[in-house]
Amino acid sequence: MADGSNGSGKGSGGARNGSAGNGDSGGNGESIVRMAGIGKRFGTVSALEEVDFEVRAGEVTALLGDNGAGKSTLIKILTGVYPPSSGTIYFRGRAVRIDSPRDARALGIETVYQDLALVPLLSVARNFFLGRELTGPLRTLQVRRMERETRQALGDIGIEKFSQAGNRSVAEAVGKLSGGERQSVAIGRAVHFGASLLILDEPTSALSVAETEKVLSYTQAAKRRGLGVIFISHNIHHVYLVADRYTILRHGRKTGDYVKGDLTEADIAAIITGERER
Amino acid sequence: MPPPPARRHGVLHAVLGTPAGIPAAILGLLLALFCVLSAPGVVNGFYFLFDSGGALTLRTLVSILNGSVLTGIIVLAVVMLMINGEFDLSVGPILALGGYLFGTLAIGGTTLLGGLIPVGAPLPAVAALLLALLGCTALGVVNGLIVTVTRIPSFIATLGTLFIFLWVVSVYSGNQSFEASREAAQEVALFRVFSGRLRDFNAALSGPLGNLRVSVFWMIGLALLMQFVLVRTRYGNRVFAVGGNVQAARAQGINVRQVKISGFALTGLFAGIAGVVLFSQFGRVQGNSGQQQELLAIAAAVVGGCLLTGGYGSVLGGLVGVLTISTLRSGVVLLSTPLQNSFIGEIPVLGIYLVRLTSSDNFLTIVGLTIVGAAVLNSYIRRRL
Repeated sequence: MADGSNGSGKGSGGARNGSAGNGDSGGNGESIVRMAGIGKRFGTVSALEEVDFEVRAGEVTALLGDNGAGKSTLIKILTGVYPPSSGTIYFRGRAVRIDSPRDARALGIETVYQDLALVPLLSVARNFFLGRELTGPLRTLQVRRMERETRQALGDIGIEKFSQAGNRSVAEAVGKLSGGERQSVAIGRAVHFGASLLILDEPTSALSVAETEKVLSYTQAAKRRGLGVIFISHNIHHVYLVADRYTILRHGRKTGDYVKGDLTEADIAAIITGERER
Repeated sequence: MPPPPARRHGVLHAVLGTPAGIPAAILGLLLALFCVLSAPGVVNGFYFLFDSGGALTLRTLVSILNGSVLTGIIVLAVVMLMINGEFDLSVGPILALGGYLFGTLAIGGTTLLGGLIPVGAPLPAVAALLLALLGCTALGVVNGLIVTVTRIPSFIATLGTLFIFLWVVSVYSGNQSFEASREAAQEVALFRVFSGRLRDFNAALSGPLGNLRVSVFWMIGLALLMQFVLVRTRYGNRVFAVGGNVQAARAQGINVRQVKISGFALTGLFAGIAGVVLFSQFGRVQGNSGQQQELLAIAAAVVGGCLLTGGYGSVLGGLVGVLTISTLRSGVVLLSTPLQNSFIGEIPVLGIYLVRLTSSDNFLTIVGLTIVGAAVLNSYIRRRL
C-alpha cells in the first residue's frame, strides 16, 4: 500500500535511457538481471522505493550513491541477504526468487566483498576452490590439480603474478598477499566459476594506485568475457574509468540511469550529493 | 629471474601439509633434544647413548609413549576443534563416561543409576564399545548444538557442560568407581586389543620394548588418519576455512554449523576412545578419571602450534605437544637425582629451588613453562615465515 502512494513508480526509472529498453542500447549484451520496482522497508523506515535496476552482459554498471542512499540494501536484496518488501527480480528475463546467498550463487551471481572473501591462512589455491574442492577417486583433495588450475585461471584474466614466471605462488597463504593481490584472486575466482553477474563492492577502497589500476583492468577483463559487472564505489574517478553505465541512488530512490559519455565526473558528483537533479 | 616458489614449500610442507607443521617440526627437534637431556646424560655427558645406558633410554622412551596415550588421543580431535575456532573443556567427564559405559557393559555384574538398573550379564565387548563411543559422541553433539544454536562462546558453553557432564557421570555410576576383577578382565580380549603390552602378543619381546602398549599404535594410527583428513580432504579444508574466516567460508556456501558440530562430535568421540583405552589399561574408572585432560590437550595443541583464534594448527604438531609434555613428566623425575648430585645442587640457596623444581610434584610447573615458551616460540616463527 505504502509503496503505491509515492507517485514516482516506473516513470522515474526511465530517466535518460530507460532501463526498460531491452536489448541493444550500445552494449553487446542481453539483460542479465533486471530488478523492477524494488522496495524495502525496515519497520517504518523505507530504505528503497520503487527502484529499477538493470545490468547487461558485457557491461560494467556502476551503482552510485552517498552513504545511506540504499546501494548496499539493493545489493543485499540481489544476493539473497534480504527479501525485498516489493518488486520483482528478473534473471535473464525470467522472474526469480532469491531467498538466500546460496540461491544467488546458484544463479551465477558472485560478490567480491572488501576483505571478506578469502581465508588468510589458507593457500591461494585452497581459497580459490573453497566450497568446490576438486577431489579424486578416493575423495581426497587433488591439491596439485587445484594449484595448476588456479594458476591458469588467474592467468586467463591477466593476473600474471601467480604464473611460473611470477613472484607469487598459488601455494602461498593468502595472508601474505597485498590487498590488490587478494582482490584479484577473489575476482579471478568469481570469473572462473562461471559467474554471469559479478558484484564488486568497494573493490578499490583499500588499494594503492598501482593496485587499483590492476583491479580495474581485471574488471575490464571480466566484462570482455561477457559477464555483467556491478561496480559499487565511492570513488567517482575509478567508476568513471571502468563503467559503461551509471545508476545513481539518492535517499532510497533512483535519480536515473546514465550512459558513459552522458556525464562528466563533476556531473556525477553533483547528482550524488543532490546539488543537481539529473 | 623466476625464483622457484617450491623452495618455500619444500619437504616440510609436503610432509606436514600446512604451514602450522613447521613450528611443530621445530618443536619436534626440541623434543628430541630434551629426550637426550632428560636421561641421566645431562650430567654424565652424551656418551650414555652408546653404552649400557642405551637400554635405560629405551625403557624411558617406552614409558614416555605409554604415558602419552590418553591425552595423545584426545588432542587429535582437540586440534581439529581448535582449528575450527572452538574449545572443549568438557572432555574430562566425557572420557570418564566412555570408560564407565565400556567397562560396565563389557564386564557386567553391577548396577547403574545408583542401583536402579542391574547389569547382570555382560554385553559382547564390541557392542559395549559401540555404545560407549555413541554415548560420548552424543555428548559432543550436545556441545556443538549449544555453541552453534545459542552462539555463546564455546569456552563458556563447555565450561558449563564440564560440570553438567560430571553430574551425568555421577548419575550413571551412582557415584561409585567401577573396577573389573582380574579374572573378568582376562575374559575380554578387546581390552588387550586396545591396551595390551607387546609382550602379551609376542613372548619374544621380553625387553623394554615388550612393555610398549598397543594403544600407542592406536594413537599413532589415529593421528595419521586425522592429519590426512585435515590436510587432504574436502572436510579438512572447510575446517580451516571456518576457523580462518567464517564469513568467507559462509560466502562460499559452506555449512558452517555442520562443520562446527562435527568438530565437537569428533572431540566427544575421541574422548570416548580415550575412556575405552583407559578402562582397557587399568580395568578401573572413576568420576574424575578424565580430570585435567581438557587443559593438557589444549596445552599440547598450543605447544604444537595451534592458534587459539582458529584457522591454524596441525594434528602432528598436537601429538608432538603431547609427547613433549609426557617427556617432561618422565624427564623431571629422571633428572631429579642427578641434578641433586651435580654442581647445581651445590649452588647456595638457588640450587635447592632448582633441584626441587624437578621433583614430580612440580611437573605441572615445568609444563607451564613449556606452554609459555612454546607459545612465544610459535608466534615468533609464524611472524617470520
